[in-house]
Amino acid sequence: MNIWIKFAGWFQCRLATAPDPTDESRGVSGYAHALPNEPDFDRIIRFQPNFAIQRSHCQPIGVYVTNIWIDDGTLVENHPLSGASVDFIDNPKFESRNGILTEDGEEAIIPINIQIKNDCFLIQRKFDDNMNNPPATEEDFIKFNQLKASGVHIHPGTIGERTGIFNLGIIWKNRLSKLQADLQTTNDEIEISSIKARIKFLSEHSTLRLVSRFNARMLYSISLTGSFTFHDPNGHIQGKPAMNSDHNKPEDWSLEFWCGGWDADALSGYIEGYLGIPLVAGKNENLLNQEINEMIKDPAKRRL
Amino acid sequence: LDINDRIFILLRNNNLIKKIDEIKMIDTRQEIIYALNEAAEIEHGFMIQYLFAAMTMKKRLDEGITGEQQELIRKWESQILSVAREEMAHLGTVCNLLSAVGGPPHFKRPNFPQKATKYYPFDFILSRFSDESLYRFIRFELPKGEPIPSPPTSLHKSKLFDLFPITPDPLEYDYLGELYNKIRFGFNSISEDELFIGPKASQDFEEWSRRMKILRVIDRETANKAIDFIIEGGEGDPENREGSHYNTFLTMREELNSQVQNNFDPSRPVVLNPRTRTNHRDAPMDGTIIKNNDSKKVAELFNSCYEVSLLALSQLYTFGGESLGERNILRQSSRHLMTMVLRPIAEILTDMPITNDPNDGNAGPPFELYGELQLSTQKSNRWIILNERLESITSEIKDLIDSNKRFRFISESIPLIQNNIKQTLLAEEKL
Repeated sequence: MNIWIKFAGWFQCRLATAPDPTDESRGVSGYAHALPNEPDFDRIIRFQPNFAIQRSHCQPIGVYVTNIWIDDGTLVENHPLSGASVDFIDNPKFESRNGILTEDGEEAIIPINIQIKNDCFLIQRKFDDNMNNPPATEEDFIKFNQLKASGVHIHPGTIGERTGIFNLGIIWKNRLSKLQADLQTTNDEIEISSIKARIKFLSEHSTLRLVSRFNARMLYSISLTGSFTFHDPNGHIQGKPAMNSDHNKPEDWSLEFWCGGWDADALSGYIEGYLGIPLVAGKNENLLNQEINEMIKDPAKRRL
Repeated sequence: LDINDRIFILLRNNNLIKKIDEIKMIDTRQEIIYALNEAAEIEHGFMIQYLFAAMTMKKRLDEGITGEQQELIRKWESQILSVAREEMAHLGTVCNLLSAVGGPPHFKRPNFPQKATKYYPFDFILSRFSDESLYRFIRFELPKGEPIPSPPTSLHKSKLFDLFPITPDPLEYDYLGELYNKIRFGFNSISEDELFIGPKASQDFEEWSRRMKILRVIDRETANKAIDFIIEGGEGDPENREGSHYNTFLTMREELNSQVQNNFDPSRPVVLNPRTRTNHRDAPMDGTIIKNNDSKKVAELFNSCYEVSLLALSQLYTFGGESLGERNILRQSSRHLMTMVLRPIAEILTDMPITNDPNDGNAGPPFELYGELQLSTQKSNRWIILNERLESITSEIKDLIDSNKRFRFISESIPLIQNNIKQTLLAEEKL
């Protein structure tokens, strides 16, 4: 049996763009700039609002579980995992190094270590436990290639339907008006400079290439084979990860997702994906212990 | 300098040829090659001087700038880097013009500083971003017929102008456009069949990036287009200067001067003409010696990386039998070295002290060439030498990893560039 966990939402990645060097901290030659009231760029892909630098009047950052399916195609309504937060942990970054490692649109995300959690549930799985970044050996490069995106695909319909934004230019025009109004409400010199910088950016780019970049998405499909955490004390998943034939680690999990809807003013994009976990039927350990304790206490609950 | 360069300079320095005009009309292949060599050195020299100024600009609010000034500086730096990239495209196009008439590419140039008239009609100096440097840049790109800009107001304070007073005369040609028009005359006066002996395939016309295109030259028409491209990039159209280097610097200077009342200094206190060596045979004027040991190490590393990028460019433009794949990796490696290695090291340097006394100012990228740039005649040896140089840089940089977090990133990128070259060569071998 497999469980399919769908997730979606807005992520942020504050990074300098070509022709700036990848580690440029403020952004100079490319279109992305850290504003005067913002810290340096760190290139980290953030799925959750903590530590994201949310710019005003932009889509709120946050990636969450939206749906759960099981193998027979059943969509599980009101699953306890719905709304759980999804994250790629350990500070993942798009790795291309200005084309040294990959062509544009094929950027790998490294490291991949997906996490899904809510108050009483935690799943984590790494792509691999022994991968060097940047790749150094032939084996590293083979693994690196598995993490690359399949190139840029122009899919305005899909992105528009998922995000509700079919024309980023309109969103930017509205945002521009709001920023112009904000200018009247602050006396803070640094904030004024930051707002002015965004107004200039939105005014200059609202009809150009950067708007159409919203319609592009990059597709990823990755087998997760590394170490894992599966903490489900309340048995939400109603099963345990199926183990490989050596019983030393779970079977590979399937992670597929796309990143697109890049908003160059917000420095955020949209992600949608699925985590597929092969399961075996079985009681969760905590529930099993609970049942045993109850049987010890109450002989009537003992079954032969 | 090779023998041709020496003859040309000798003729000029002995007043046998005083102005480019006096080479009469350029009407022989050799004269076209001489003039294109000079054009290549000028484009190369402009590019370096622009890059140097851009790398000296302040970035952080703790460097004594306001948020608004930070944005202004970022815009200026971006504009200067864009102009420098176009100079690189001009240099590549000049190499295509050379190749079209059978000449070799020309990446040689004397070290800094250079007084006007020794080699070129302009002073060539490495100076930080300021009103004075912008004045010089405007003068470099000044179109004929446009007024000479007013001298910098801070003239009396400047060490720069003590050493290099603003004396536009004597010039061998007053405007860069004049040099290119002389070259144009040559291309139009010799018959096409006779002149264009370079193989048509020996042209670099692949797109370097969305922002940088180099023009192919295979006949008179494309040669004229290439010359127009270079002149218009610098001067713009006589009816519309917008977007030209000249106009960019002119506007930048106006913006800078409008900030003067705010006691605004947009650049780091980088010294004039920083150097790691006291003497260069080709640059007898004094530079400012980098005496702080750490800064000197970084400056030497910068010079090594700069030379390797020139070696890769020379190999790319020599067309010595490299396959398309090999040429592509040379192009990519040069680009990656410039963006991911040279620029970060230059930025690190302008934040480092020139001596052990921080009051003496900051160091900067010296762009020194310790010897003549030489390319092996054997293709296989070129690859070996390029690989060795990259390995040596990787080893040099290891000592610096702990001194600045950016060095770790740079030290990771160089072996990746090297690996791309190795993989390409392996793939080509299999073919």
